[in-house]
Amino acid sequence: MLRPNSKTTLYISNKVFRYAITIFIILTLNFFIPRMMPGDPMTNMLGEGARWMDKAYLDELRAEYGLDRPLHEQYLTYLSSLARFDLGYSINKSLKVKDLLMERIFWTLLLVFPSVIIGGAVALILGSFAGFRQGSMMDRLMTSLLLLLYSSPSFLFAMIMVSIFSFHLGWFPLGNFASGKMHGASYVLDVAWHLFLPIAILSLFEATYTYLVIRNSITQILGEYFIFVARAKGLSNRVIELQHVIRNVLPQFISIMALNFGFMVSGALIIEIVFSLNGMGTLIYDAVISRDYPVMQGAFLVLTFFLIAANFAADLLYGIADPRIADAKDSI
Amino acid sequence: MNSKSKAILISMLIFASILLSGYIGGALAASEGDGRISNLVIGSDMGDFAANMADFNCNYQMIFSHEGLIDYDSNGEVVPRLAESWETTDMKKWIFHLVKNATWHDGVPFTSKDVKFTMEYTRDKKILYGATTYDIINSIETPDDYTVILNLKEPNAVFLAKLANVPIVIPEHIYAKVDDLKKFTDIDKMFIGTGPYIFDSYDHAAGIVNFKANDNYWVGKPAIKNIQMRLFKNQDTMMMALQNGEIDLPYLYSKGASYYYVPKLMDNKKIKLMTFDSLGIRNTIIFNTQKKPFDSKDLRRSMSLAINYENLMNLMTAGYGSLPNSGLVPKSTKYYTETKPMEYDVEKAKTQLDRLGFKDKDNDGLREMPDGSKFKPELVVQSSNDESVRASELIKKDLGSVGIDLEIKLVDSSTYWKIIGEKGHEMILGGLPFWTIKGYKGYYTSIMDSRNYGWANINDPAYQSIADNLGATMDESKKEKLAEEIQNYYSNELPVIPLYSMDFIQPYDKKYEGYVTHPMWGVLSLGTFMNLHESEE
Amino acid sequence: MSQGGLLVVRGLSVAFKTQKGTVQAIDGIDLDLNENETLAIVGESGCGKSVLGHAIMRLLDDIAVVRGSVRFREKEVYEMDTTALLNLRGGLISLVPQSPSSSFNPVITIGKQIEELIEKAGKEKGNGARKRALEYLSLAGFSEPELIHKSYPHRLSGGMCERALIAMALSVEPELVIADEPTKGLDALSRKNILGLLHKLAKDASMIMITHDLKAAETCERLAVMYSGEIVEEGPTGIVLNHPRHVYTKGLIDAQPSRGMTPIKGRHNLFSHNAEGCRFKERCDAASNECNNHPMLSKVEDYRKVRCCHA
Repeated sequence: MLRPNSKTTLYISNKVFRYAITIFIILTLNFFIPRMMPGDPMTNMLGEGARWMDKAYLDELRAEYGLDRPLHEQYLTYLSSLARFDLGYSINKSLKVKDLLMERIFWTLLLVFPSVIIGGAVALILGSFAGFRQGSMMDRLMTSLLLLLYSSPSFLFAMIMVSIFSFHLGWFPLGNFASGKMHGASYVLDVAWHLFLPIAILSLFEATYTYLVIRNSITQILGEYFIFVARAKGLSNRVIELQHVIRNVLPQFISIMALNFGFMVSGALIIEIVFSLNGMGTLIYDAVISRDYPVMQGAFLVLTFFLIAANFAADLLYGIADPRIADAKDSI
Repeated sequence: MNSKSKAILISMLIFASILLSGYIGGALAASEGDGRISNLVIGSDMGDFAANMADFNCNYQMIFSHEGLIDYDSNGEVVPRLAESWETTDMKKWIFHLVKNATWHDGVPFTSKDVKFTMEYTRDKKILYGATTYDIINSIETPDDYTVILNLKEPNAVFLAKLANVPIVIPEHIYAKVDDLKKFTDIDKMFIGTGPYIFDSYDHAAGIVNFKANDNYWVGKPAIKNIQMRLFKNQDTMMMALQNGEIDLPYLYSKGASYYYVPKLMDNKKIKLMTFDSLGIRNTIIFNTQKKPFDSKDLRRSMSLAINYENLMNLMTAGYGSLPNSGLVPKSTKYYTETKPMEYDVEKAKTQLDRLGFKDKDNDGLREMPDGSKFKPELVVQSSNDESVRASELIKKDLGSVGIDLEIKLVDSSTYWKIIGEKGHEMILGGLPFWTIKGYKGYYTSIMDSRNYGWANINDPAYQSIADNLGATMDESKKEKLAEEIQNYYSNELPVIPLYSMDFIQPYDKKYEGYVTHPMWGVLSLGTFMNLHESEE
Repeated sequence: MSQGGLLVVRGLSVAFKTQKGTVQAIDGIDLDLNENETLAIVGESGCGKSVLGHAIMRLLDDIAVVRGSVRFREKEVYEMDTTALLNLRGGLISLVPQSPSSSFNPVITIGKQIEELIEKAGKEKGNGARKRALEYLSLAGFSEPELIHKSYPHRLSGGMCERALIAMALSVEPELVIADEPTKGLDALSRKNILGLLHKLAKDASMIMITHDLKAAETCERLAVMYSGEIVEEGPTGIVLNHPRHVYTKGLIDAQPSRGMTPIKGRHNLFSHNAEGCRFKERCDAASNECNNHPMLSKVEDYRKVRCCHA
């Protein structure tokens, strides 16, 4: 029944311990999963590389990258490098994985972070609007529109937008983050101009799924008995919607947003291809295709940390948004 | 936000975009009065910009800033570059005479020492693109600054082609100090070559690589003062940029534009289209000739009779295709021999399959193996190649019409090459680009002979002896006879079924003309850099 | 017709359209309640007693078709504007909702939910509202009202929630309390406590207690028995329970645990209002031909009405 809320320290240390184990498991998976895929970084070179080199040379290269050593030895090397925060060099690009990631993450966040925020806000506002006026013209219109968007192939949709706004109307550039050769304020404006369309499209995509969840969740909450009780208390619709309903939507909203934030660093592959942006999406895609183990490991590592951080934040926020969850965690 | 402030924000954005587009328009100003083109903007699909020599793809150097001893002409024949001539008597000792007026971008003269250094450095540092090429060299002599003598470990008839495949000589005075290539990050130094263009800058955010003309270039002043490479990740926006006039030339590395864009581009008065011979075969079926039952040339031939080549070519190439002969080697190749065209005859295919014992024994409409077990040939196809995926479906239909149940195995590129590398395939669908004809002992031996890459895995002593002779003979008449023999071998044995060839389609803004093609780099050839000029209109 | 009554209900009918057809949840209800009077409405589930409670507060969904009149202090509830209606609900009339564990919003503290009602009803603001909430929690028998005040609903047991709900409903000093199944799911001891609390806190108000529990109903002065959307018997509680005139009322009394739990035969049919005549006749041992005419709720003694032709 009533229990004092005094186990916070234990709770947090417990949490940290469990996160540490999770991270270790994920780090291990990050090592083994790329290596379980058919082929290795050298097999791809059998294709075009055949123009330059003999087949036997691939084995020498494998030795050069230590790929011929037993897997457990490679794993230990991997762990000890990680412990020294050394992510190694990309096999395909001859760059430090760390440098490669840093540059990509910066631009990816610039692209995805605003999209997640805007998409989330749009979804919350529109989803609430539709949820409270379920069955109305506006609700039906918005829901079918967003459902259509949700199920439409994103590459095609983005291409159509580019074709309209960039090609035919000429309002926005065809791609990239900047025009080049600019400095100071005009550079910032230029980047904003380049990012407008991709962020707008990405926000819409971010919003679709969240919108549907929010709307359905509101519908469900409106059917709860405590909402009936709130009406019996003579509270106005505004008070009921803003204080009683939205507060109950928040936990779900928080978990979706946390997930979106967590996956942010994995980039937006389709948008990056459409707008020719050098982001994490294409980096990971290319690394997977060419089996560039160090880049894959590095990218997954960053992704892991973001996901776990987002999860941790969500856990904390969740506890605030829904006291039942906080109590349930207390008792573990 | 109320509607008024929304309106203000939107109008501000529109205003900003108008300002900025004006700025870009200005940046693309045309040429000045001296007849040279001041700025050529090239859209490129070459992906991420990479400059390190240790990279798998250091194409930017090979195209713009660096050169090899020898080069290819438009027909794929070897021509002089940094070596103005060469001689050999036994194909073991090769003497190259270098040009005397070449200098590095930093002013240091280019000499035979640089060539020797390049070859040894590339070999010792195990640089991806050239290590094995130079591995066959026993010793290098530099009797004077403009002569290089290479002593090979054994005679090699295709050595020139091998050299032309690694068109890059690096400066000793810079790389001698670079011990660990991976840690060499000075991008300006990386680009110091002898070639027509000097690296200027790379803007990661804008995806633009800038080159400026090397006005001290030993061949002469390049015709284009500045080259801007804008990197695209998809062909659609690149073609939009061409139509908008944002780029002058869309460059698609070793594939040309998709015919899908042709009708739209033909409508545009500012755009012209050129086509050129790819010097290769766009798609083929390659058998693993050591894998049962595909070791039977009769089976390979009867399967080949079931494919409607004409139909396949029409559907895949939209009029830009042609049908290669059974001897595979393209017409433009030296010692091309006329061999039989591929034959399409469904009835004949059925009779031959019946005769070989591949009959439908359980009456399910599909043929079984002579021993009664299921006959399900497997065709490995790269899933990322849309064209191959579509072609494989047509092939499945054709083979199905004679009762062969083809199984298509779609895999990503790494898996594809892993299967081929381990010779685990029965059949693969793949192209034979220009360079595949050059390797090993020439005439596709590298992808045929099981002793080399051997995608077709041929270990027939008869074939291998032709190949060995081809690789060892200098006598041109003997060579011609061997070339004929090997083409007839392909035609009779069908280790590879050629499906269709396709010309490369190259659109360009018609304000400039004089593009010259290169078998490896398409229109980004030395010819283009030296000859491009404004159209007379 | 007493004009001076606190609540006057006339010909109140509520119908719900469902896929299986129209359900007449309540049908032609007449009801009078005076100030400081307590009335229990009993009946099996599905008889329409809860709908009646909600209809009085105009709390039904839009899909409900409501006819008739509900007058509270001579004002027609169904003609009120939004402001007046919001004043009525949780101000003049307070509902003690059923199912205590799902009546509170799970993500808002008990205290906040009480205070929001106090503030809305214009009784107190800010700290005053908090003091009043604590006062009523304490009146509701909580020894540590502060703890309850800052607790979230899931930390309270069902019985505690019920007490908190009563505290909330009465904290605005309503003129009428509608208590919907206040003893549902409680054991005998808790039931006694809750009923005592309810009557103690509502001593200055009128009350309608909707219940299926005759023991609870006994605590009210008057009793109305509902069957299939109609009042079938009404009168002073003691008289009705000791001398039931309607077969259904007798059945309810005999179905009590203390009376051996003899169930009423047959089952209540949601669509029995569609049949001709007395709606109870299918389940009635005394049914005769006369019962094919729909009986009226007629006065059989002073203060007492029954809807049965045999009464």
